[in-house]
Amino acid sequence: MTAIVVCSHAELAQGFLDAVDMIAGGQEQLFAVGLQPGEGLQDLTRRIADCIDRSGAEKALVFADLFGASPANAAAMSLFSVQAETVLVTGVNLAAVLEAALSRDGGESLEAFAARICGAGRENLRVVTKQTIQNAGGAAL
Amino acid sequence: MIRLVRCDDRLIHGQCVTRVISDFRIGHIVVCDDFVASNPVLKNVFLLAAPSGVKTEILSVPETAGRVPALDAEKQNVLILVRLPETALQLHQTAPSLKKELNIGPMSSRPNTKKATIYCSLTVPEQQAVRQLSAMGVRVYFNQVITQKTVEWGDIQAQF
Repeated sequence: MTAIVVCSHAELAQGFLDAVDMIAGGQEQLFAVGLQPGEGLQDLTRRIADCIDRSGAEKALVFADLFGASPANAAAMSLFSVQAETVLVTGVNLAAVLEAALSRDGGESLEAFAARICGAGRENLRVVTKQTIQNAGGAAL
Repeated sequence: MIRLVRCDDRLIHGQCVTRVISDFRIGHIVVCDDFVASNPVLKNVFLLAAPSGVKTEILSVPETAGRVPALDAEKQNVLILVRLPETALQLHQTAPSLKKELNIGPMSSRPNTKKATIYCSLTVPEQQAVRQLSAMGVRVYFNQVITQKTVEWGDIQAQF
């Protein structure tokens, strides 16, 4: 099974896991690594890599909360040291984590999987106005 | 011109990208670090992390020192980022025209570090480098983001 690791500032990553659990129930091979106050890049990189290696998975998808930030930078560095074939998706949202957790191992390549997950995440970012809601039903509210 | 010389052991990261670069209207980042400059993975990860539209270079200390006059002559604001106070010291020792100011941002807590501020912990060699910088007339101050209070090394050095 493809391992999934969510990396974030503070406890956001664990929050994603809690939210996935609330919606879809407990998932295997789904992990959280949060950058703690005072933690350095090297330690964070090691914790992400250890998490992937300990999973024993052949493939891993790593999410990070913000492109260019330390969790994403550390995850990017870990790509070069882990055993598993691993890719990184930045700018994580709940739709992306849910889609990834529930649709892994469909036989597609890891890169195709990651691209599909990015699509799911992007599709869920929407603007909803009163007009949007009125238009959805057709009738005036 | 060189607008800010900042020491931050995570170099280019979220706080740097979301706050420092816009607060100081930075158009050019120079990461000055011999280790990162010589490690292709680290170098490329930081180049990738830099915001698009901001010219970013990763240089060794001697390369940076040689470029200081040219960086000061640039029209856009330049940020020099170092990972360690020792690097700032080397830079000041070899680039005498460099503005005598060092901003220390977040520095991680590591074995045998002592907290200078809530977000900044320094090893003994780092404290020694700060002391030497201060003795050279460099104003060393601690600040993460400009909306937070600045702490001067001169006001806390007695604790070290």
